[in-house]
Amino acid sequence: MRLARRAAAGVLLVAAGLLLSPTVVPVYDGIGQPDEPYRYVDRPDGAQVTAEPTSASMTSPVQGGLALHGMNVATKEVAPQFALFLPPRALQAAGARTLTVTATPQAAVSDPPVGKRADGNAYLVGFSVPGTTLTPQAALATVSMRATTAEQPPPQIHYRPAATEPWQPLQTARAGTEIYATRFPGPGQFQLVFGPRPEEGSSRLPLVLVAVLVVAAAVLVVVRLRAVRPDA
Amino acid sequence: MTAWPLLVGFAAAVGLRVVIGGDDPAGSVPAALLFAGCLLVLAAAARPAVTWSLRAAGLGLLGVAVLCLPVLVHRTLFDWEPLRGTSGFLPWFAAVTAVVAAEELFLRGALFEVVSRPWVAVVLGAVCFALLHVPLYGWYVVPLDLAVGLVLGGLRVESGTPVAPFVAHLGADAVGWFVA
Repeated sequence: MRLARRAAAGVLLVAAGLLLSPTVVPVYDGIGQPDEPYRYVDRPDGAQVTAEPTSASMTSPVQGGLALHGMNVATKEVAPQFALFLPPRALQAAGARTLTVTATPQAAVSDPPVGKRADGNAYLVGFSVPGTTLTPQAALATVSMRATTAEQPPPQIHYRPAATEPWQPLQTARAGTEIYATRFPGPGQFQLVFGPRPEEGSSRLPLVLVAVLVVAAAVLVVVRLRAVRPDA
Repeated sequence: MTAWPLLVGFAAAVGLRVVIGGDDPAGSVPAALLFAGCLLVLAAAARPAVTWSLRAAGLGLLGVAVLCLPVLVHRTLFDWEPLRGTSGFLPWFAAVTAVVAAEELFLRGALFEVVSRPWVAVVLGAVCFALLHVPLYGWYVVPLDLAVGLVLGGLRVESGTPVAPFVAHLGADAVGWFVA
């Protein structure tokens, strides 16, 4: 009985931790699970040959002008290369009976923001009902995109409502090894972009030196611990 | 013996993992194995008592359920996706086993040897467990990993051996492969 109560307390504790963690996190540790190779619409030289990238769509009934269901519009790769989460009643589609949200991969844009480089596919989000608008509930909607690399500094998600409009940078958070998330501003085109590529030849020597120092410090700690043990 | 030399070594091991892992410290198997090696060396210095028993293994399995139930319920209700396949699982699981064993020997083994009050060791181990994941996954993980660390510490106290938290930790990671 005591064990059952403690187990229940443990479940509640983990549930609270899960709810307080603002994004999906690895359960719980170890090593990042390997993703399948990135699927490009327009595969660059040297990239692995893969299946075609997938589109995603989801439909919700509309009642009183509002899309009733929450929708997780995620592509089928492991991990999804694009995912859009919409909470219930986040979209208003007056006069419609159903509303479909789609996300379609496109070749990386040829006109990324000035000084930036596009990473992976662009994704076009569309609604089946013209004139669909976001409700205040859409403040909870999130977009996540997988980068082709875990390169740091991190990329940023950029957005534009149409290809003819200027890019808008979106505040982007790292949500996984190479997964990045942002709020959902509306239908349109999304693209991950990195800053300029670092200069070739930038040395990793400082990092290696730090690593050597850290190993030396660890060895010293172990030697000291063994020295102070009375039974050593 | 005090805990601080172990904590300094632990911080150094985390730093080493981040440095060696480069752009992808969470995905780097060499960095993870080096990290595990450092923790095993540090844990060996404190010589934690590791005793196997059916009760400890049973408690570990109960821990798997405790750790996974909220996640499975959450994903079923709010974020359902098909389970992941087994392709690539075995080499990943082998590496994860080494890392988990090292973490548990250190956090729920060595620390419990050098900290006199068990509840202090539980909290200290949970804080270290949460912080070690921050460079890998970001600050998002702190609430969840802190909670998980407390549960694993509780299993250590209940069972008297790091075996129970090891079984729970490894089982939860294995489940995580399929639902993550």
